[in-house]
Formats: sequence, structure tokens, C-alpha cells
Amino acid sequence: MEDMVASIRTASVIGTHGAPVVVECHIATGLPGFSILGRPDDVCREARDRVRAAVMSSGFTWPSRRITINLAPSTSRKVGSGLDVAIALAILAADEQLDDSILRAVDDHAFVAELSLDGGLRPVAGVSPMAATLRDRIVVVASDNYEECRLVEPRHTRVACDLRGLVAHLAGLIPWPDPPDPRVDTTDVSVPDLVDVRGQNAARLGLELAAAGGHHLLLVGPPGSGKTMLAQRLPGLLPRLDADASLEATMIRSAAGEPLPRSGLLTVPPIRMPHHSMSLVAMVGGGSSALRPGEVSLAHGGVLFLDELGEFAPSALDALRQPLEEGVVRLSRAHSTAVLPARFTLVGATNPCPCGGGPPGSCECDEAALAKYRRRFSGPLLDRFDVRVVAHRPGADELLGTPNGECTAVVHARVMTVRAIALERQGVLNGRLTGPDLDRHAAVSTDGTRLLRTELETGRLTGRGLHRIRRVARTLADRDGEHEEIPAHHVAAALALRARIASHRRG
Amino acid sequence: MTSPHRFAHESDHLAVVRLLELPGLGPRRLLSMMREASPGDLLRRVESGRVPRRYAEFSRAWSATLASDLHRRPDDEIRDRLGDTRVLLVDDPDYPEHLRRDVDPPPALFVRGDVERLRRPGVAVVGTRHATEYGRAAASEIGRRLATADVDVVSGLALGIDAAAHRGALAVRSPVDPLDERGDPAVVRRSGAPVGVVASGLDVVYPRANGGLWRAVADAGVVISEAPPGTPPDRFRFPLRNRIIAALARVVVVVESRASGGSMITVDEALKRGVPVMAVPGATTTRASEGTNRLLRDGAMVATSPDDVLAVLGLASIGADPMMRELRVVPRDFDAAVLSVFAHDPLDLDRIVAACAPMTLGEVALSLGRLESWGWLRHTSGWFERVTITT
Repeated sequence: MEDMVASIRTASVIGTHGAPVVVECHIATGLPGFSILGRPDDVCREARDRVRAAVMSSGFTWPSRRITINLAPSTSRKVGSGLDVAIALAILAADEQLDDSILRAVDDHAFVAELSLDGGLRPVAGVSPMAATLRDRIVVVASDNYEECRLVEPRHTRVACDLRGLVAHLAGLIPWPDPPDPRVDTTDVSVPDLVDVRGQNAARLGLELAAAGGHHLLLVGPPGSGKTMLAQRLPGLLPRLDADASLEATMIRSAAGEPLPRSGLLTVPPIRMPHHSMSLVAMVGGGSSALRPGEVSLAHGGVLFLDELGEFAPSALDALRQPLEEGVVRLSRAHSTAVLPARFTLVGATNPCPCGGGPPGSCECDEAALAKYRRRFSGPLLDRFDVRVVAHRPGADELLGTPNGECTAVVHARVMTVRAIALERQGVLNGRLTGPDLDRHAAVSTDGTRLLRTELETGRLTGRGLHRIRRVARTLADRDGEHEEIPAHHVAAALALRARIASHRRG
Repeated sequence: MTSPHRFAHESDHLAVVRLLELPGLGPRRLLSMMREASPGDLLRRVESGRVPRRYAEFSRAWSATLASDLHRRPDDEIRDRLGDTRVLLVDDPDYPEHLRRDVDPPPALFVRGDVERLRRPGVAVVGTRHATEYGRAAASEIGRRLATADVDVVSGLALGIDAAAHRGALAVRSPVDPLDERGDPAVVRRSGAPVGVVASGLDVVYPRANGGLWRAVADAGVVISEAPPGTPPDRFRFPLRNRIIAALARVVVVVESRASGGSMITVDEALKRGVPVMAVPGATTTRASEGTNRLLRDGAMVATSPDDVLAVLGLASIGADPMMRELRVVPRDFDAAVLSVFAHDPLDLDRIVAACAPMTLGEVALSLGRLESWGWLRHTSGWFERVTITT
């Protein structure tokens, strides 16, 4: 028998990007064997046994000859089980078990699905980034991946239930099944509302400033002061994701294998709340050969909330530096590199001191404990937080008596106005103003300058602190419709909002 | 003690330093040993292993220390370390008489400053390290008025209440009249001075934040310790230190204290010695006043003002109080309105802004900034406290 070669289209995913892959199969006489070339990872290598079982249980014959699969281009890493169907079809084609009509039809198609041992098609993670590289083809996926695949608009999306059926559809013997009913979210995507927060005006203002100025936010407060509750309300204040951002966020989530919303598309800015025991890899991404996106990328377009900031491993916090500066995270491994998007609003939360603190006179910590606590927060990291507000444990009055504060919708509207003002004036949000731009766009009035000078001279404000105060004061002024020089009372407000961690006790 | 007033040799001073470094040889045990022999003799006995049977359990631990570099260091090293520190053995004629008669006197005192200050008992002003602005103000005012009435102010040189009390006492002597730089001795004699009783060695400043105050107290008054120079601030030394504070006091005034803590130990020591205890009442909601309010409930005398303390001393009518002149800018309009919101409790920004409605956050913040720069308020991490007196 003559040696046969066949090639089938599919894709793999690295980081948050898909990469097209061509599965080539060569069947030759010789000792029966099955090898996969082209740098498959462990899961992909296991396709050997999955595909064999699926082919045999679907009523096809397994060729008892020497089978060589090549995943081209052979230099890049292939990951995951999404190549299963393509491998199975390539073997069947090379073994001449498929008609010519099928072989012609296959050329227009690409296949992204895992095979079960009985020949069924299973959904895989990362369908949207993979399908995005196969836009000129008809993409065949498992029915659970249909919505996600359609998001990136390939030429056509088709679903199939199992390998036997898929071959029949390709041959034109059975029509392609109808796509599953579109799943619309019946419940509106629920974002917690600010109206639930009682009192906490300083912290509320902190959230609004963070959203309006793109400032990173540090919440300092004792346990039970509602830091997490406050942080969860920030995504509602941020602008909704536009079409591109939505798709990008969805693709990141998909590549990470995280569950997607029922409609398939992420529209609300995400909030990620990793626990402080997380590893460096979980934070920045990488780890597997797929260079799986980490928390910083999953928070792209939204909020990365680090509760108990001081408990995170210093290496994990240090790794935040690049994403905070460049909005991306660069992963380099021995054989692959990837640039993943990672632009987010960082919200840190911490106790004011190890004992939890409270009003002056209630702290239990001695100087040594305070000094140790301070050392946990590196200066460069703390410098990132423009807005640092105190969250107080609410008193009985606030919990029972105080009228409700503004709801998310009202604050959101104001946030959008302030963002528009800043973008029109300087092209970036106030939180990104530095150096000369700060002087040009955030000039302080004479009275305000005097306030700042006093603070500097008494040593209560540092040079870096000064820039932070100016950026925050700029946002405060924009919020009140003061678009020119920053008036003194906004500088004073920015100064009064300041919170400190483990402040030195007075002698 | 061979005789009540024996002039010690310098070798005894050096020996007592070495003896105090022996593990397990606390003040009480050393004192009873010193009743049998001078420190020099004791040290020789210990070094040669001729220890009385009742100390046999320590001899092994001691032999390790005796073999250590620390113990073998030359006398000169100890001399250097002592510097101008005076050593008062319990039988030294300069050793304070009322302390010698105490139930538990320190076998040796290390002294920096004016030894004369120890001749008469003072008033102890003690309290928590976690003080509120209210407590600091009260402590400082009591310290100032006591010193004005020629009463020495005994405290522990810790953060919070202790430091405030010492500062109050220091305020009476300074500023010195520029025309009379050296100070008229007659005038100086008539005012009380701070007496600091510390737990660590005199050259181990703890807490370090109080370094300046530590020196100022030694200059204006006296700082004492029963631990030799170089002794670290071990935890167990603080309760021991507190007994000395109680023993040096005619009255113990607790300004702010939590339900338990060092001040409560001082109170216990005072009660053991029959020294009257006074307490400054505080808000029932403030943690820093939990202990003092409990003392009041249990029958301690109330100190609502420095006059109450002076009355207990029988000094109420001595001289008129040279009231501190109000040097701060008097707030008006907005600022007065903002300041009027403050009672003794610290307030957070939210509450201040709510109480000042319809003023905006910015206006309130400006006003708070002014009040702080004039010294009426103190801002610590989101909390604002009213400052009652500046000293």
C-alpha cells in the first residue's frame, strides 16, 4: 500500500493568543506505532490514546501501521486537547477511510474540540482566542463552545455531537445540526450597588476618585470595616467594557479556562480577588506551557483587589510593577514568550497595624511590631496608591440611622464626566499624570501651594507624596467642575483623606 | 549590711555589676546576700565556688557565666560603660532613705542626673503607652502643676502618659530666662523635676523614640535604674521597675490605663506599700480609660484636675497657678464651628463632615488643616483629636 499524507486545520493557544496549527498525518507500512511530533505538551500527547479509543468506538478502523502526526509549525508549543478532532480526522483521511467529498469539505473547515473515549466532542478552554486565528474558515466546535466561538466571528460556526456524526455532516449525508439556542442572561449581570454601603463617606469618595482618575486605591481599616464590600463596588463605577475590551477580556478568561458568563461575553469590568497565599505564577501567569494568564491579566480592564496586602509574598507584589507601569505582562520561558494584557485598577486593603487598630489609644502593638509591619510594605509599591483612605468600622448610628448614600448609577455618571474631562484635557487619566504633565495640567493655586509647602516643611509630606496629593486634588477639582488651577480646598481635602499604615506612635 | 552607712569601694561597684549579670540572681536574692558580705567579697566567693548551700541550684548556671567572655572582661570596660553613672549600693549614705526602708529595695541603683532629687518622695504619674490626646494633656498638665508646686514627678519614661508627664514637669524649668542662663539656684530649688525610673540599663534607651526626652530628664532631674549599663529591656524588668516607681512616690496618679497593664502593676505595688492611688476619669467608651475608671469604681481617689492631686498632698493653697498663656491662634467663624464639634473623643473625617453640614468636605478639610497647624487638633491616619494644652 502506498504511503498516505493528510492535513487538517486546528489551533492552539499561547498566553491569550491563538495560533493556527496544521495537523499532518503520515501512515506508512512498518511496525504498528503512533507518534506525535511538533512539541505537544502532556495533554496534547495524551491525544494518542483518546483518539485511538474515539476512532475505534465510532465504528472506524484503527490502522495497524506506523502513524506519524506532525503539528505544524513544528517549532511552537501545542497545548491542550483541542487538537483531538483534527488528529482523528487526519488519521482517518490518511488511512483512506474518508470519501473524496469529505476530503474536499475538510479543506474549508477547522476543528477545535476534545474527543471523549466514546467519540463525543467536548468543549475546551480558549476557544475564542483560537477561533480568532481561524476567521477565514468554518470552525467546528462542541455545542457548549458555540456562543463563545461566535463572538470572534469566524466565517461560520458549526457544532457536532460526535466523530461519527461529524464525518456524516462533512460528507453531506446528514445536515449539520442546528446551533444550540442562544443563551441570554435573564438576570442582569449583578454588580453590587454602592447604596448598600452605610456611612463610609471617605471610603466612598476614595472609590469614586479611583474610578474617575484611574488612581490605584489603598483601603486602610480594621477588620470588619467593610474593605472587601467597598472594593466589590468599584467595578460598577468603572466604565462598561466596550466591544473590543469586552472581547479581549472574554478571550483572556477563556484562555485561562475560567468559566464565562452565560451569554459568553464579558461586559462588566472584572474584579479579581486572589488570596494572599497565591503563588507568583498565579499572579503574573505562565506556569504551564500554555503560558496561562494570571490574575493580573484576568483583572484586565477591571479591578485587582489584594486583601491583606501585607500578607502577599514580596515576590508576588514585586511582579506587579511591570503591569502597573506598562499595562502588560511579559512572560518569557525557555521556548516561548508571550505579552499578555494587564491594565487594571489596583485596590489594596490592609489593617492599619497588626492588631487591627481603631481610634487613637486602642492599638495594642508595640514599636517593634509596628516597625516589622511597616517593613512588609515596600516603598515602591505603596507609592502606586494615589488614593489612601481610611475605612472605619461603622458605628450603630451609621448602621441604623443614616440615610442611604448615593447609588452606583449616580456616582457612575459623575465618574464618566470626570474621565471625559481628563481625557480631553491631557489624553490620559489623572492617575497617569507625571512630571511635566503634572505641572501643566495640575497646577495648584497660590493658597493651595502654601498648604503643600507647610506640609512639606513639617515633614508630613514627601516628594512622592506631593505628586500623589496633586493628582488626587486634580481629580477632586475636576469632580467639582474646577477645570483650571486646583483650588486650596481640594488640596486640603486630598490631604485630609490620607491614611497611613502603622504610623509611628508619638512619644 | 555590716553597718547602716558604709562607704563602698569602687571595687564593690564593679563587683555588683558583675553579680547582677549572673542568671537567677535577682534584686531580692542579691539583697539578702549583701546582708552577709560586701559585693566584692560575694563575687570572690562566687568565683571560687564557695557558695552557700541555698544557692547551690544556681552554681552550675553561674559557672557558665563566670567562664564567659562577658564576665572575664576587664574592669576598665565596666568603668567605661558606667561613665558618669553613679552607683548607689543599698548601704550608701546617698541611697534614698525612703527607698532603703521599702519592703523590696533595689540592692543597687544606677543614677544619672541629680542624686539630690531622690532624697524626698515625689508623685508618680503613670499610665498607658496607648494614650489618647486627652490623657496626654491631663498627664502633662498634672506634671506641670506638680513641678510648679515643687513636687518631683516620678514616671517610667515610656511612650504615652509617662512621656507626657515628664514633658509637663520639664516645661516648668524651661525656657530658662535668657538673662540668667545658669538659673537662680533659689528659684530652681523651688520647682520639682522629672524623675525617670527605667527598666533597662541607663545606656540602653528604650523606647528609642524617647531618646531626647531621656536626656532632657537626666539633665533637668534624674534617671535611675536597678539594672547595670548594657542591660536590655527584658520584659520581666518592667514590673520590677514599677515597684520602684511606687516606692519613690507619696501618691500614685494613674492618668489613663487599660484594664490590665504596667500601670495596674504600679497600682498594686502602691497598695502594697500603703501609697494613696488616684485616677483620672475618662470616657466609658475609651479603652484607654477602662482601667482608670475601674480603679475609681473600686474606690481610688478622683483626680479631675491637678488641684485634686495637690489637695491630697496638702499643697492646694500654695501659690497661685501661673496659668499657661494661650499662645495658639484663637479660631473664629468656620474654624470655631469645626473645633466646637470636638469633645474628648477622637473623630474620623466622616463624622466631622457630617457634623459640620452644610460645609463641604473641602471647606472642612481646609479648616481642619488650619486648626492642626495652629495646634488645636492632631491628625493621625484618618482620626482627628483635640489638643487641649501645648507644652
